[in-house]
Amino acid sequence: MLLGQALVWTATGTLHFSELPSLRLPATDTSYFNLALVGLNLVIALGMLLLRPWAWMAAMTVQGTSLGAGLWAYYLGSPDFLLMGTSVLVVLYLNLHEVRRPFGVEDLRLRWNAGQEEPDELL
Amino acid sequence: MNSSDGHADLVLLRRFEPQIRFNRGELFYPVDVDVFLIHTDLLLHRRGEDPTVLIPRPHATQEAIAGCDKDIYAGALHLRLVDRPLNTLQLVQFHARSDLREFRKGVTRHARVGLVARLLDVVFRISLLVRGRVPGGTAAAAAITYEAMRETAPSPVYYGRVERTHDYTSLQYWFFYAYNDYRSHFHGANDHEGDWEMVSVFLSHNEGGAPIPEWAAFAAHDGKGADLRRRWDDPELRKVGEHPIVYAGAGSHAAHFSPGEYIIRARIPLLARLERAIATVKSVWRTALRQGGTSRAERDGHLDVAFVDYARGDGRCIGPGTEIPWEARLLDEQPALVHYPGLWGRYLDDPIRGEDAPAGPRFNRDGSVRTAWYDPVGWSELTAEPSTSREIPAAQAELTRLNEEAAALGPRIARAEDEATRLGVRVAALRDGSPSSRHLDECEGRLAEARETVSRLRHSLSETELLARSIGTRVERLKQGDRGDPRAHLRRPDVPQQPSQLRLHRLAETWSAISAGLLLLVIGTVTIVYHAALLPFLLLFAAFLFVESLFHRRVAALVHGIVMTLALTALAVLAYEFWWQIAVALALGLGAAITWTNLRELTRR
Repeated sequence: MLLGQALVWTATGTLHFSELPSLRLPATDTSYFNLALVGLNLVIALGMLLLRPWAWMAAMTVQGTSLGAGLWAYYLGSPDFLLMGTSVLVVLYLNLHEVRRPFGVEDLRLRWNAGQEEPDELL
Repeated sequence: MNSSDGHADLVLLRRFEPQIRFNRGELFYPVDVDVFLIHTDLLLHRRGEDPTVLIPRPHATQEAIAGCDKDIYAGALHLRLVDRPLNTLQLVQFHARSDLREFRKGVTRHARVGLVARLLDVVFRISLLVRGRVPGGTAAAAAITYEAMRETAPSPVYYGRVERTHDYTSLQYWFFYAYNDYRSHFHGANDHEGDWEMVSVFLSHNEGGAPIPEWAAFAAHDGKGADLRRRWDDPELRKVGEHPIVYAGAGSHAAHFSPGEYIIRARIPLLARLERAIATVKSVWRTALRQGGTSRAERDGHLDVAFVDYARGDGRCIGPGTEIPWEARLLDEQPALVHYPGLWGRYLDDPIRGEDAPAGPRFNRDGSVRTAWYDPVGWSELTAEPSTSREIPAAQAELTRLNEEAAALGPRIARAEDEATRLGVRVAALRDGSPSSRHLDECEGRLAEARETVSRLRHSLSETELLARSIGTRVERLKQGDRGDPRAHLRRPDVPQQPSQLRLHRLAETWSAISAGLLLLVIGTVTIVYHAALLPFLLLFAAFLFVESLFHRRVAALVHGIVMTLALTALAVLAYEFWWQIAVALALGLGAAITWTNLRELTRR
């Protein structure tokens, strides 16, 4: 799915980071920026093929960034529903029990705190 | 009960009486109720009226208060220990010389829980202003009065009760404290005058009639159920000889099995419905949609206020093996403990009861009889657990019964099969050429019933055989002395926090202490400055959560939470924007699925 998403982003150029007024990156060429993100997605996809926990977390982060950008664009009146839809699907897929288990990320706190017990829930 | 029974009971109580280890800084220890009563008034509180003194101090005695019938007075009967709380100056003087100075709170409770729990704590504190609340300075005044009681009767007292059931002899040790200063002095949930706590030891008897200790159950914060008891061979139940060790919570006096600091969660009744709704959504999210991980925070998450119960056991110790022995009294010989239905301290009509004094060992606050009184074994869900001496005979009896059931099922199955065969023959004959379709329908109906009966009986036989096999295995294990896991009955036992959970930087503690109030202050400011604009609110909240996650080393969990929130928001946006397309797609999908299923069924024929 990540590879597919990377292809979609490359083909359509729908990553709106550089087009959002408040997130405008004046010194960055849009195509290079997009290319960098697509590259990042490919690295993450490779990590996911090797079942690396960091790859799962990085994939979630990228999707979160994409969702944030999509929602912000929607708020400003220039929505990209394809971007939002694919990101929602990827996030829900990554969050399935069956997907989290092989990555060893069933308990995020234990995974990234070397087994230390934590105080109660954050929220 | 005659005097020889009483003496025998007292000997039994003495043999297994607990040792209680208190926290440093504890001000109140178990006291003689006769001495306590001398320092109290008995009052009647009718709704909408000022309380009336029925028996002024020092005339309150056990006999006098036991004679007061709640029904006659039609109001709340209660004692009052403190009639004049200390003023500010007296309070300062008290704190300058009291044992409280020995108490060290360690990591603050705010640093041990999440942001929502801290925000709810603000609500809880505010609720104290509108609920009934024990006035400030009462705890200190009670401590001074308690010191006077100790001068009169220095020995700590327990009131013992022995109840014999079919399988167990239950020894109940009731301890009375003049005051619960959990909120005032130990940052806890509540304060109230008078505090009853109870420890139970359950005995069985061997063939010679000698008592065998089987279980111990400690009451903690009005709890009941299997989590309150430990089997005698459970390592968590610490003992000095035959005496269980109890670690009492500072101020609350709740009994714990292990020393340490416990997080106690107080539910807010008003939020119960919301909490149930959240639990339902979480359940659907996890089971139907198969989303999320396995961490406790993701599974549970309660809307409650957290407090710390300090039960370190580093203070005074009372009981066997210490320098301070118990003075044992039989509870049944104390008229007030058996018959007085009122409260053992101040009544404030608190809607959630936390600040009202408790009733005695026999009664609940509402006048009903306590479960621990009328069903001492069932109170800790021990009814279905046979004692050691009856475990093997009970299992063998059940095994015999199951084998008999299985044996009886054989002929029944044979008869049912004969009946099914007979009906099958009839149906076949009728299908071949009966003029009466009604008769065929009737026979087919009876045949279906007969087939169902055979299936049900065979299923029952299979289950019975499996159960008998399991019980047989258990009997063999029991004969070899293997009683199984002593903690198998525990569902969610209280466990103290681990030292690793309590290592927090001073900065993190400070943040935890101020963040909830600061968040509310900043939200107020942002509302004024930005006129409740959405983005500043979101950024502010995200910044708070980020700092919070840094201090608690949970950045990964925070990122995951934010991503899931964004995904659900985006999903809601998509559903809003494309609702009719989604509805059409669902209808088309449903139609296609139904068509496909029906076509498959058609082609199979």
